[in-house]
Amino acid sequence: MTLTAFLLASLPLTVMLQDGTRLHGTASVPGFAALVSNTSTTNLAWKTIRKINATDREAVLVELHGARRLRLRPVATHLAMQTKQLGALDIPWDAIEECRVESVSDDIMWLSAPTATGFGVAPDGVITIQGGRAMTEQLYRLPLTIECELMLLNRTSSSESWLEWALVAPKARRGQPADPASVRLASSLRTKDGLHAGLVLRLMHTAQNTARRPGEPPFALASGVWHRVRIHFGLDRLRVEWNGRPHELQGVSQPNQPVRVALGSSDSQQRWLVRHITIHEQHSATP
Amino acid sequence: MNVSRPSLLLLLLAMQAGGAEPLVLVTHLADGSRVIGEPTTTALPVTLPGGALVEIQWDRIRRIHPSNVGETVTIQLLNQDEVTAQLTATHWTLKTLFGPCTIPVRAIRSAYCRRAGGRELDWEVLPITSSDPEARPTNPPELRTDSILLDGWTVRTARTFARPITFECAIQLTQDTPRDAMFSVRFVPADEPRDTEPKRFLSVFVGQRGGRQIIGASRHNGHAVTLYEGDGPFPRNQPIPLRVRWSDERLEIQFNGRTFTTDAVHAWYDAFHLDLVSGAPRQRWRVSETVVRFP
Repeated sequence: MTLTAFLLASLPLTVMLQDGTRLHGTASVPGFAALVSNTSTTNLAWKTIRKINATDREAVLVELHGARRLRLRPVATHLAMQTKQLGALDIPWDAIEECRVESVSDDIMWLSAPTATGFGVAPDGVITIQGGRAMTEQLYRLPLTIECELMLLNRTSSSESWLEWALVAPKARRGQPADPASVRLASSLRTKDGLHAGLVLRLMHTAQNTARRPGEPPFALASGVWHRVRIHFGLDRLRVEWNGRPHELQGVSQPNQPVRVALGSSDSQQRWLVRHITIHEQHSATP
Repeated sequence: MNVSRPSLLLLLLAMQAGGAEPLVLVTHLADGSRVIGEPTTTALPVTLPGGALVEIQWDRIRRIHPSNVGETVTIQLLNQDEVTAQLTATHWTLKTLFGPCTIPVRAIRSAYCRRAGGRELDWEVLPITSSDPEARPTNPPELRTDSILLDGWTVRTARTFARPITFECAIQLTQDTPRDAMFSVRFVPADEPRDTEPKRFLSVFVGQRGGRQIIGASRHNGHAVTLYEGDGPFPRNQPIPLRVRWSDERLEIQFNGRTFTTDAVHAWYDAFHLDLVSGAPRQRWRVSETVVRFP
């Protein structure tokens, strides 16, 4: 196996069998080979796959990043994986209930000012944010989907404290804002009813600043647990799924230019953790 | 049981063995893996303190976990007796769904035996918290590979289920718990959100209230049935098997050797999650060996 293939194959997998057996390891092959018809096959790189549901005997359901789903038949009868404690294993697909690819965020390069503090990336890819901000080196085109898990570690007495995902235009064009859109998760947000936790979805078009707060009642942001977030920056909408609950802002067109993704928080006394980050352009989800 | 008489022990165990229904061994490994399978041997060889070599039939064993004494393990038997010993074998081989699997004993963190059939469950902590800061948990949730510590948090299965279903677990009330303590198994419709208390559910609860043991069932609308109320506090610091079977006709609860049934609490959910709930922060329940079975 070449070095590149080895690196591609080393994504961690969690395989659940139908009797509750759970195996942690890495795939022994670079991708998931599947039949798309009687005569053609495809090879999906593991990094594009979120999970494979194998409860259907006829085919498996492959869920890709960006929420696309494909119903395919594996070429191989077994999934070859390498485990730390048990060595090499060949697991028959017939026995598998689910195969989950653990997201590895280390292919995202974060840039921040040389003297900036408050933004750190641990060796396992978990980001700790304490009042800092960084943005991706990579540029992305809309539509774009960001998925991650967030944890608020501690609450503070600040009047407003938040964590924010934002799109940043590298070169703001005349009449267009540098930050076209953002999603702000606030542990403390000032409203006419006082300080509450909440979500702020912001879409900015030309020079207008349109900030809207969802009409949902204020929710209690639990600290010390992971929250699942999916943010979709579409061409004409912004949609956030917060622990599976959707919030959407429609009707404002987004500028069609490459953007960086920025992540930051407002309060240096408040710690946030972010993990399992994936950023996918919608059109790159095609196998 | 006097474990200083190995000959007698072997004889007694040999006499009691045989005729047991199929069993599997559930092993939890150091990397978080969980391997389930049928042991390929009939007995577990161990060395007792003092050097005696004995073999304990697998079908007499309840669970195995590290002890606090050197490199020994504590083996809990079905009759609640405990044996502290060193494991003699370096590997265990199990017949698994992916063929024979040889597990290095040094990689095993804990193990338990149960009836074949059924499957283990995985849980996730729900991001539910109270808007009242005083009612929020003070400790972070503790989700280990082989047990969960509920201390004001709720955990839920990622999977959904349908009736009829049997849920089994072992629950343990830890010592530092106040006078009232309640543990619930909740059946929650699949479309209920994850981050708020469910508006609809059916619940089975066990625990203590006002220093008395209590077992019952309830629905979200407050309709509750008390199936048992007894003198004395809830047993602490010992795992107690709990089994809940929910069929179309009734709820059946087996707890600490007693069986209770009721058809007075009803709900019709096409698909539901299972939740495990502790009554409030500082009510510390350790839950392990969570298994579901389907007829």
